[in-house]
Amino acid sequence: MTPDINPVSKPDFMPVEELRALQLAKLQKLIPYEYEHVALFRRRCDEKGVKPRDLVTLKDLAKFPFMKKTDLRDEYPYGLTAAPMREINRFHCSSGTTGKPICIPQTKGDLEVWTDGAARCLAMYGITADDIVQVSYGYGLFTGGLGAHQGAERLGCAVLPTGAGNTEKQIMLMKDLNVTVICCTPSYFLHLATVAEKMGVDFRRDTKLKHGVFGAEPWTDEIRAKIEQISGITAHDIYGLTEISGPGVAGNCAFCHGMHIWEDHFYPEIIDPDTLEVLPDGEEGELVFTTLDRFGTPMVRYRTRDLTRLQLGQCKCGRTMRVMDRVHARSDDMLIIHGVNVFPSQIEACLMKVPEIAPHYMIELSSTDTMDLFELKVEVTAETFSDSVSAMEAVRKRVAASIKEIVGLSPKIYLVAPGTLPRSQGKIKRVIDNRKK
Amino acid sequence: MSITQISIFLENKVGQLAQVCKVLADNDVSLVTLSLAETADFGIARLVVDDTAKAEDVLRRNKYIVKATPVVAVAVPDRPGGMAEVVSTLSAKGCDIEYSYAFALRHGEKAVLVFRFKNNEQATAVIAEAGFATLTENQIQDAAK
Repeated sequence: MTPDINPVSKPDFMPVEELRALQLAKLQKLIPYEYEHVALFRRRCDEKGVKPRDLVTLKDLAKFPFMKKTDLRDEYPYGLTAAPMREINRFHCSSGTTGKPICIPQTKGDLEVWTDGAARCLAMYGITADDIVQVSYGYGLFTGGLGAHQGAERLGCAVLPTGAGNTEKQIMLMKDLNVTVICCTPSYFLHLATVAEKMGVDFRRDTKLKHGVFGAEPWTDEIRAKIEQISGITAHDIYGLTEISGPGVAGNCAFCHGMHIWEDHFYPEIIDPDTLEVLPDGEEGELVFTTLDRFGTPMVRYRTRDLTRLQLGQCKCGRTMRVMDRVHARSDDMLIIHGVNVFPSQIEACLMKVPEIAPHYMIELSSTDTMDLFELKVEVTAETFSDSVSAMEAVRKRVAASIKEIVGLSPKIYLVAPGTLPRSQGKIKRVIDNRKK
Repeated sequence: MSITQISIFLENKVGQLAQVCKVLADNDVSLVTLSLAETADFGIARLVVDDTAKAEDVLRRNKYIVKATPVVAVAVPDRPGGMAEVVSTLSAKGCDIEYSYAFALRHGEKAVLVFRFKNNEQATAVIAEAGFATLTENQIQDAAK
């Protein structure tokens, strides 16, 4: 344990027995609360014949029903909200499976817990009140921007809320204001680096940048090494999801190859995604979270679809909070493109809204050194083919607008000849992901 | 008076045009003229041929998306200003040209301008009124010989 530890990090080192007792006490408060206020949870408990009082030890949590992303969609917007509206302080939303967003109303206390998690991540990375933190995650319904912002403010950092985009200006500010920390997606940082190079800005020579806080999309050790090599900064992992709060659920320390989960707020389980049985630490399966301190939209046994494992043994840094492996796969077909969740079914729904094209499509993902490339091939039909380029471009624009509206991304759209894309015959491949893993 | 142009959807890939030409050649269809419109990913080939019905049929059977489009073929003197006279007349009367291409007739001193208008009826009336000669389908077929 380092002697100059930030006070916000104190809970990270809680003795394990104390941590388990705290988790149990919080669960014994949360489960009856959820049972009382959320009809779906109550109905499922009743169907399973399990009562809140059956939660006697931590192991008993396995008796309770799961929640899934589809529940959030089906119960949209307020079905899983447990607190009265006068206690709700803010909404965050993320994309769902069929174009409907998921909506997470949060209380002041929920935001507090989230901020604590984010601040503890930043403190763990060695960031202090002396740092100037540029937040280049998107602000708004997406949790990235505000999550990193709140965490940095909690530590007393000077925060520069640039949000995403306007890259040249971001680099100018980074340089002129002596920014020491940047928070963004790894792909955006690589994009920043490319633009900086074009502007003749060398991160090592011209900026004071020391730390990068990267999350919201899967990235590899290779990308980390590349980021560190081109910029001279230390790249840190931050993990989180809107359903559970946002960035700040877990992060890496200087020793671990993985991420410490703030278990005093977010109780993790690993399950076998097929049998739904809880797996022991050390085994890989689907990550499931129960929010211990959130009362606006609590999640009980929320299935993240992220495949990982909880590592055995204690980390050299002295933190007692368990370490999860970095997430490298998901148990469903959700794609993360530019940090945005995209389901192929959403693309299909978008195309259905444009009568001029056939509902056949192919998503092709690749990556340059700096960015994800998202290409979408769609088929024109004989009926709508026109001899006029402007009429055909109008079709392309309608497809683009539909996708932008529902998915929030602007893929490069290719119009291809009919019959050239694979047809639905059972399970077909609609996605070609050639991004560097 | 309009003639029929055949428009074909082509992906912007090497060999696409060659395949179309081969289908037409194999079926003894002769090209009178053509124009290609291209974007980054797809192109539209616009053809005037000697046997429109046959060309449409064989292309469809070879799975091409084909569309028959009415266009106007105007014969003008093949000299400087030949096209200018027609186009300035059309623009003076507010006729909106979508696209145009041209070819020279093999016999005589005439060039042919092919026009696709937003409003064909309006444009053909303007052309007739101004006394420009338009070509019929038969004359186009003769031009191919």
